[in-house]
Amino acid sequence: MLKAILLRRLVGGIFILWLVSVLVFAAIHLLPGNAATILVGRSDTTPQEVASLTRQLGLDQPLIAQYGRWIKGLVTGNWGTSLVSSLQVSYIVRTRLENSGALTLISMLMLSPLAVIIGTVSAIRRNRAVDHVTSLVTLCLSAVPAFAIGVMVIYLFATNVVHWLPAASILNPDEPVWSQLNLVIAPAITVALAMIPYPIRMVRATMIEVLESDYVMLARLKGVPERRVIFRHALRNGLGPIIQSLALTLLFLSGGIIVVETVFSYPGVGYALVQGVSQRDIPVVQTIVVLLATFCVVINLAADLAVAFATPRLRTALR
Amino acid sequence: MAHNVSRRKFLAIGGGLSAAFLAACASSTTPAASTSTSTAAAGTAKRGGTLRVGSIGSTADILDTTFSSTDIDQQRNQNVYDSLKYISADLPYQTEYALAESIELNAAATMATVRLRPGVEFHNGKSLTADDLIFTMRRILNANKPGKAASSFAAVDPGNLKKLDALTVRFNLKSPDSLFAQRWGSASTNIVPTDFNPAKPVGTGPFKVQSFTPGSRSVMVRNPNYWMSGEPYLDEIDIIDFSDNTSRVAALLSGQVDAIDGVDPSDLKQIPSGGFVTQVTKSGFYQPITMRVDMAPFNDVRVRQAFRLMVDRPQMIAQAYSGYGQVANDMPFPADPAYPDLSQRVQDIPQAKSLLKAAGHEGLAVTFTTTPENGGLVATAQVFAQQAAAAGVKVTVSNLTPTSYDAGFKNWPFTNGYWAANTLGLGYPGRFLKSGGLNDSHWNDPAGAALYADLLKTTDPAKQNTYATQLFQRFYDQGPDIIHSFKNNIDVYSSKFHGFQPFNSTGWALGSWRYRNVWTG
Repeated sequence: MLKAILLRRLVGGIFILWLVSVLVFAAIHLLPGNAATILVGRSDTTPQEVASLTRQLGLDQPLIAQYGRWIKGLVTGNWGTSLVSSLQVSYIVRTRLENSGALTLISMLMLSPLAVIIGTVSAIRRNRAVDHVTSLVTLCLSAVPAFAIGVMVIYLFATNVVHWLPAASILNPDEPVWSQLNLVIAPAITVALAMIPYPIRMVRATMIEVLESDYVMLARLKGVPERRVIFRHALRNGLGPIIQSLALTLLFLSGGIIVVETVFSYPGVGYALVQGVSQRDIPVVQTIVVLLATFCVVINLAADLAVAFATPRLRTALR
Repeated sequence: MAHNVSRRKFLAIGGGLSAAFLAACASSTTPAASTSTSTAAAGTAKRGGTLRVGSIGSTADILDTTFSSTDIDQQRNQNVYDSLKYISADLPYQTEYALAESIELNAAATMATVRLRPGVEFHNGKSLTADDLIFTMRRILNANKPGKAASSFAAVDPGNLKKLDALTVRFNLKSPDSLFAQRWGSASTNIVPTDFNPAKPVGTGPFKVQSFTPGSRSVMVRNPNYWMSGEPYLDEIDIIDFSDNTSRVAALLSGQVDAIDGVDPSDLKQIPSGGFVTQVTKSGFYQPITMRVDMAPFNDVRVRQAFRLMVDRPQMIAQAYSGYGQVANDMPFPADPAYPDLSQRVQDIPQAKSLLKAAGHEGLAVTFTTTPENGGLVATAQVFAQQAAAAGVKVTVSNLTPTSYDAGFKNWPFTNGYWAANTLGLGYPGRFLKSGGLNDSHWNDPAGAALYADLLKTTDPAKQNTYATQLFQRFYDQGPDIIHSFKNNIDVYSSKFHGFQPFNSTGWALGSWRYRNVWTG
């Protein structure tokens, strides 16, 4: 049964990706202005120049043909050449993905344990001072947009109060991101702060529910030590929803990094997307949007699988 | 987000009208002499150090100097290559010899003879020869892929370039061009070698390219064989791309970059008083409000004059530019020696109203199309809308994204843009000839065009001045632009660095990015 569900999800995911590709393609071609004109720059542009570039880019072909060519390239790994920099899209995207991957990973490494700990503590100390403070802080954080948190982090840790962190994440393109992690910390803190309210609340809610359940009460009546009740009985059973909330956070994060990367000039996919849109770099924008959509679909599938393995009922159904 | 692909770039070609006689007689100031005075003023220049500059850039960045257009491209390419001449920093606008030893024009301005400086080497060890100049000129004028300076050299016949000897080239011009010698100096006129490979770019400039990632950063190192003795002083320059101003200022404050160019006045509040130098460059850089003269209501000169009288210029500078500007008088190109001292136009609402009434346009409503570029365009539009209300004119500000704005360039009936400081001779054709590629007002003035043609025919500076003065008068009396003010450029750099000379001639940033003069210590 579970296999059927997963298969259905997979087919659904592919359908969504196709839909995204059509939407992106349509949206970008509906924008005003001919990409060729914009690329040449409008100074002293001769009509011949625009015409020759239009041909070169295949912009004179029917839209369906352009779409078909793009999809074929996308599937076969030939993502084309950036219109703006004449670099291979795959090259641009590969380095950018690596950078964004590092940022995502480090943010999640900061965020996940913190969210579980804070959420659990809030649940245990429900309606006490700790819980009130936590809900106030998470409320504030979720009300402030990510870029404002970024500016605050820069103000506090980089430019005005203390000078512990670099203010702009100007990675050296000649070295891998893993050797420049000091430039990743500030945006990672920002992403973590911006994304943490939701998982904290989910963990808290889940834990409250679990802690009030019959089996927890039974365990307590049995005289099982409270620590063991929380770790053995409550947390384990709450793991399913917690994983799902973290997966959902990861999805939000793939959108949130666009803003944070821009604030810190962090050379990730989000920043590349923003630059690509402003420059009408069609191949780069199309590829990144489809990759982000693929990421979302894959994370959803992975979360479903993870929940299945963390939940005995579903795990046995999978066998 | 700053999409700072400069519109000023388009008029960035060439040098100054005032240098006409300098060009005719082939000598006077050598660049080495003039630069040593400028650096001496700040102290004794020392060798060594790295300068890190944060600039607005994108993956569209290029190192192929012939096609350089944005500020960041010009910045990089001015340090890797040289042109036949350099533009001087000070007023009046003039050029000095760089790779050329002399440029001579015949009296009819139909033939130019360029003699190159001997003993100059490209970064790959190749010597500079006449072939390189011919190759560069043909590359600029390539009809299939014209360089950014192509329109500036419209008079040059690429098929009629004659190599007289190893270092001398004769240019036979298709039509007279008395300004030929001043057209050299911007990055798009830089000289490239005959074996030029854009993937491994070499020039004759003070710095050699070590690495370059478009949209990210470039590293350039000192050229030990630079032809100008003693320069450059720095060992290395790193030019780092930002797409966002806020991030750039933060990087300066946290010590990740040493200098930033084209700073928005609103960001200055964040700069602490110690440790940084704020350098203001006053030039003829302008953000005109442009009226399309080929359609109603602006085809009526009374309406144009009425709109010019509606502006409170000091208030405009105070509100739109935070005070960083100079009042202007509806004429561009103040660096031109012929710039006339006509009576300053001031706000006169009753007169504006009566002109509008006479033109039959009482209670006029117009849409002002603008875009958030170049700091101040949107603010200027908003201030203008307020001021125009006093004369009963309803101005609706339409704020477009830069991409949408650019897509409709030359179509907007009432708009504003930004343009380089220049001399009249060099700046006129692009925006004010009917055929000009940048003629956004659709200005069509046969009498003015005839005056401009006369100006190109004479090599006599006095006659050039006479023609230019008449052209200025035409701008003042009936021109298509409301030029309320000239906008200052603001740079901020660490006080550890010296040698950034304000370029009042062009208004370009950070000592016009001429980093061979910069030193630290």
